[in-house]
Formats: sequence, C-alpha cells, structure tokens
Amino acid sequence: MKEFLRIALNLLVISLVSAALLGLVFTRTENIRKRNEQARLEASMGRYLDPTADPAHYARIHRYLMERPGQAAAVGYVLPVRGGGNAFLLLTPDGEVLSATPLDGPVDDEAERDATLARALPGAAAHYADSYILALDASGHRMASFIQGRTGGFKTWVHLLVALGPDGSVKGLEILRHEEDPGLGAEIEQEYFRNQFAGRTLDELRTLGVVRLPLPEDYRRGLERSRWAARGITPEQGRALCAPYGHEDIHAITGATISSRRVTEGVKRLVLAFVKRMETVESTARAAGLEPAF
Amino acid sequence: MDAHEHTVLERLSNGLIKENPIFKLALSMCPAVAMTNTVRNGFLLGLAVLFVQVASNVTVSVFRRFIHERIRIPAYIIIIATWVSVSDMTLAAYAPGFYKEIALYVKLIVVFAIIISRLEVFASRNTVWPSFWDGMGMGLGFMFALMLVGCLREFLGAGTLWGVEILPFKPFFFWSLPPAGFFAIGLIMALFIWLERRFNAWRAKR
Amino acid sequence: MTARATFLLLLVLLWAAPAQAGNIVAGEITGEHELTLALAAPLDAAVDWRGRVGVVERENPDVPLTVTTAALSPDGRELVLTLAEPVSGQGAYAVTLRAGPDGAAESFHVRKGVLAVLFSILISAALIQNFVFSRYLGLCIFFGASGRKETAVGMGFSFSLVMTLSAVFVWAVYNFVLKPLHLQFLQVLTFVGIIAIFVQLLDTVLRKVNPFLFKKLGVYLVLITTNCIILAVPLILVDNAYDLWESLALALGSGAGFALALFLMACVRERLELADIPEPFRGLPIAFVVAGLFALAFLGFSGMSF
Repeated sequence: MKEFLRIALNLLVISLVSAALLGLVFTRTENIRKRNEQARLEASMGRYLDPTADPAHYARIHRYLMERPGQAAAVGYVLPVRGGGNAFLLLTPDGEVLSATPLDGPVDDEAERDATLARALPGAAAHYADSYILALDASGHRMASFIQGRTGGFKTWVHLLVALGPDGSVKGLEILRHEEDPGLGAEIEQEYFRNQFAGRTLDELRTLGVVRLPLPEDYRRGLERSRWAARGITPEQGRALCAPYGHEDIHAITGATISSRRVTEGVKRLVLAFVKRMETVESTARAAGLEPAF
Repeated sequence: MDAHEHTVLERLSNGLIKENPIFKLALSMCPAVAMTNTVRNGFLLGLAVLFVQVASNVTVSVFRRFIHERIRIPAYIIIIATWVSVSDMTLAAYAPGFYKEIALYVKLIVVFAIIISRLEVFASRNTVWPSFWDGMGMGLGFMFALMLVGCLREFLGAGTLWGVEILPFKPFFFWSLPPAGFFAIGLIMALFIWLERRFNAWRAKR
Repeated sequence: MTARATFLLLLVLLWAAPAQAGNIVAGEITGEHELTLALAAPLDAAVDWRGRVGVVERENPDVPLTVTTAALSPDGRELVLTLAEPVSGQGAYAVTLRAGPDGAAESFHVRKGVLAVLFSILISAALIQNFVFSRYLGLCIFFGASGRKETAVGMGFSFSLVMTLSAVFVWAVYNFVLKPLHLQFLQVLTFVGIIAIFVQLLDTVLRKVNPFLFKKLGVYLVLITTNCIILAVPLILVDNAYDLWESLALALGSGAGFALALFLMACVRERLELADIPEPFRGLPIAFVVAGLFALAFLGFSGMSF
C-alpha cells in the first residue's frame, strides 16, 4: 500500500511540474503569437499599399450573423466610429436598419469581441462571419481594402485575403490557409496563379471565368514578380509582359482545375459581396445615427 | 547496456549512420513520408524532433533516480508531451509561417517511437552528457534522413532545392506528390542496405 | 409522382432536417448549379416561379444567388432551380418560396441531414482521407503488423476498439474540462494520458475477461500507444470542433480505414514472400514501394465528397 502511494505521488509530482511548466510557456508565448500574427497580417497588407504615401491606419469591420427564429438571419457589423470606440449596426438582409448599438470594450480579439457584443446585446445569438480591413490615410480616405474570407476548395476550406484598390479593382490575392494537395491544388499559393487576379476591375470580375489553357511562358515570367530581379526583368518589362493577357480568363493550374475554379468563384463572390455590403453600410450607418470612421 | 566509453563522436555517428532512426531502425517514419516534399520542411521538422529528443534525454537522465521504475513509461510520456507542447507553442509564436506547414506533425512528435525508445534504452541508464550527445546523434540522424529524402523529392519533383530554382522546369513531377515519399524511402533504404553490405564485405576482406 | 420526387420524399425520413411547416418538404443539391425541392402540394404550372423563389447561402443572407430557371415537374410536386453560381453539397442554403404574388413566403433550409454528415465523415476517414495511404500516419505499426493477414486483422480490430473508446473520452474531457477552464494548451498531454490509460485498461480487462482474445491481441495493444493515428484523431476532432456523434464517426472511420489498409497490405506482402526480390529490397524497402503504389491508388479518391 505504501509502495502504491509512493508511486502515485511520484507520478502526480511529475504531472504537476509538467503542467506548471506548460502553463508558464503558454502565458509567455500566447501574447507573442497574437502580436506576431497581427504583424504578419499588416506586413502582407502593407505590400499592397503605396510605399511613398503616409503610413496607413487600419479600420476593421467585423461581420456577424444573428439568427432570428422563423426569418432569415440578420447581418450585423462591428464598425469603428469617429472619436474612437465601436458600434454594432444590425440590418435585415434587405438592408433595413434593425438597431445601432454603441459598444464599449475591446473588439480586436475574437473572444474579447464576442464578450463585448454579449454585454451590449444580451441574449442575442450572434456568430462571427468574416472581417473587412480598410487602410485609411491621415485624412480618412480609403487607400485600400482587404477582405478576409473563405471559400470551399477542392478539399476543405481555402482562407483568402483579397486586396482591393480605392476604385474596387483587385490589387492582389493572398492564400492564408488551405489543405489542398501539394503540387496540385497547393499551387494556388504560387504567384503564377494568384497574380492573375491583379488589376481586374469590378466589371471584369463579374464575368471572370477559368480557362484550361497552358500559361504562356512570357505571361508566367511577368506574373512571378519575386523572380524579376533574379531573371533581370525590370518592373516595367514585367508589367509589359503581363499586359497582353491581363483581360483574359484565369488560366487554370495544370491538374487542379477544380481548385482554380473554386478559388476564382470565391474571389468573385467575396469581392462583389464586399462592394455591395460597403454601399449598404455607408448609406444606412448615417441614417441610423452612427458616424463611421471611414 | 554495454559499458564501453561513450564518446561524443561515437554517439553522433551512431545516430547518423549505424542506428539511423529512419533507415536502420525504421521508427517514426510518418513525417518522412508526409513532410519531405521540400528540404526545408524536412529540416524544420527534424529540428523540432532534435529539440524534443535532446530535451527529453537530458531531463530523464537528470531525474533518472527520481522516476520510479514501475511508472517509468507514463513518466517518459509525460516528459515528452511536455517538451512537445513547449516546442509547439514556441514555433507557433515565433515562426508562424513555417509552423502552419508542419503543425499537425509537431504535435504528433509525442508518439514517435524513436524518442521513447531512446529514453528507455539509453537516457535512463546513463549520465547527462552522454545522453545529451545520444539525443543529438539520433536527432541529427533523423534530420539527415528527412533532408536526404527531401532533397531527392524536391529536386526531382520541382527542380528547386530549399526554394532556390536549380532547373527552370519540373523534371519528374511525380516526386512532389505525397505517395512518392513511400517510394523515396523504400529506394533510399535499399541503397543504405546495399552500401552496408558492400562496406562489410570490403572490411571482411581486409 | 416521378421516381425522383418519391426518392426525395423517402430521403425526408432518413436524411433531411426535421420537416418544417410549409409546402416544401425536402430540398437537395442535385447538380453543380442545381437545387431540387420536393413539395407536399402541387404548384400551379402556369405561374412563373422564377420570380417567386429566392436562394441565399445561409452565411450570406444579404447576397441573393441568381436563379436562372425554375422548372416545375409535370405533376407540380417538384421544382428544379438552376442557379448561375455553383452550389456545393457542403454548404447550407435557404430557399424562400412565395405561394401567391403577395402571399407569405416560406423559408426552407437546404443542407445535408445529420446522418449524411456522419456518413460522409466516416467514408472520408476510411477511404478519401485514409489515415495510412492519404495522410501517411501510423506507418511504424502499419509496416510492423502487415506481414500476415492474421496479425493485420487482429491489429485492425484492437485499434478500432481503442480508438472508438478513447475518442469518446477525449471529446468529453476536452469539452467539459479543458475548454471551459481555458486549458487547451494541455491538450497533447491529456490526450496521450487518456490513450495510455485506455490501453492499460483494455489490457487488464481483456486479460481477466477473455484470456483467449488477450493472447491473440495482447501484444498489439501496447504498440497502439505509440501510433500516430491514435493521437491524430483527437487532434483532428478538436480542430474541427466535432460533436460527440461526429467524433464517433471519425473514430470508427479511421479504425475501418486502418484495418482495410493493413489487410490490403498483408495480402500483398504474403505473396511477396514467394517472389524473387533483389537482396537490398527484401523486407521493408519493397514494402515501402508497395505502400507507395497503394497510396497512388488511393490518390484517386482525393476530393470526393458525399
């Protein structure tokens, strides 16, 4: 019996020491992880901003869905308002204002945001959908917009970041997370696929399709921007290489037609939905008495 | 355990060649198949395994008199799991770009047979410094094996090495696909066996 | 009623969500751009239903999808909608139908039924994302236990047993202990602990209850603890936030897939023993090459969805 107790105690001590060590490491690394994640996001967004312009500050809009029994779900937006602080604007799918509630509390972290929302609207069943990030210059003009969303891929979800210019044309596409097959669907991460979306206007996007044709060699060289320097191509030459193909449909990745199609559809959907939603928000926010900070 | 002197060189060469975890001992091969499509992935995962192996070896060696004999396996598992969680959290915080490619496999390190077998076979019966070098040897052997397979697959499959473009085309795309990991290991293992036979035959002739 | 409408109505009993009050009794994605609704009462063929129907994705209720055509079957009990945008079986959609020009609109959720979701998780874990041939996990034990058909079956069975039991326990511990207390960083430690305990438990129970079975399976039980799959399944079910039934489906599917992989491999390896294989390849190397061929074959399942 005594032997058994000794063994049990031994094991308990080892477990407790391990758990304590893990707790220590966790508290130290968790904050760093969040900060690094933010920094990386801002770095990848910064690539699409004009480096000569003043540094941007970012306004984040978070979209939520709120279930309403017997009706279609309502769409809510966590918006930054003038003078700091945030507000929650709740609309019907048709764009009518249901409520506009000021929020006090942190909204940057998802868990904190949910808690702040729960305090402001007790009993509401709101769940997070996606986020829009607007890059604003010092005078509040929009320099670029970023859409963080997801689309179904060949396997599971593909998480994307689409960068739009001030006129709504696509400036770039980043793949944040995916589970596609390496060498096949995973090629969506490569520049020769992603950069085909750059420069597409909204009207082009509406009718954009995917074509199963091989990528012309000079188009590929123009698309692989990171290799321009190594290949001795100047930026002007690179852009000139892409110019003749800039209005064609997207060339599918060899062996990954479905992934190419799904990502293209996803980008189309996300951008067109964003444009429509921003129009709705901008027109209804003021009517609801809010002063959006963008 | 044999009582001969464990020198640094002896431990290192043991892990790299004589008892290479993947090609000789055939333990913990899951990452060798899945994560070797590029050299860099193989290197990163090998580095994580190296860290966990060395840390666990040293921990067990330092506390070997404190761990009760009857619960040594659960104790080893707890120690390994702790170090794996530490490296998982550290990688996620400081190198998230690399981490997202190897995330699942870093957590799976805890069930790699190679680590627990080294603890049982070596670290629990030896002092700290030999255990440290044994861990280093095994970890380096593991990393070497992963990088070797990775080199083969990345070069033949994508024409690059560590992302650096060597050939402007993809020679034999099949090697980038996941099933090629199996083929690569089978072939390299056969090569190792053949080389060893030749080496032993040459030594016997002397 | 057409054969298809009958089929859809039967689906209601098994697969669809609990019937909602209204004329629409079942809805199903029947093509990449097609959605079919089964109706209780026939609709008037003279009406242009395209103007009275609306389809949205559940998570984007403010972005209506474009209905290009709405075709009514001859008996009026089935409405086939063709959409401009692609629709996927994985998604959830809301269809609104207005009975009269200004009448009340009824809303119906088109999504996969619970059983369909469970079934697809099971098939996915067993075939499409087979843990050995598609995810490349559990290889040490795979190569160790696939030498003979007998050992393969024994190992597959023990593994499925341990996997199912521990998946339930892991799900419970994660959702009732770790998550509420914000101790997720202890997940690796706790999962391995639970698995080790279960293996030990099964070992002791089997020894007492069924010594014969223990003699056949006992040696494999110890090996299960260091199997990659046994830890990967809990990590996956936590990552995807599965509920209890989905976790069970995953565990059963992974066990079935592992057993299948073992059995297939054992069949081939038994025959290889009689083949004339070059010296360096004998034993493990040729087994790897064979596994590679199987993995190539299983690549054919990739991307399938139910």
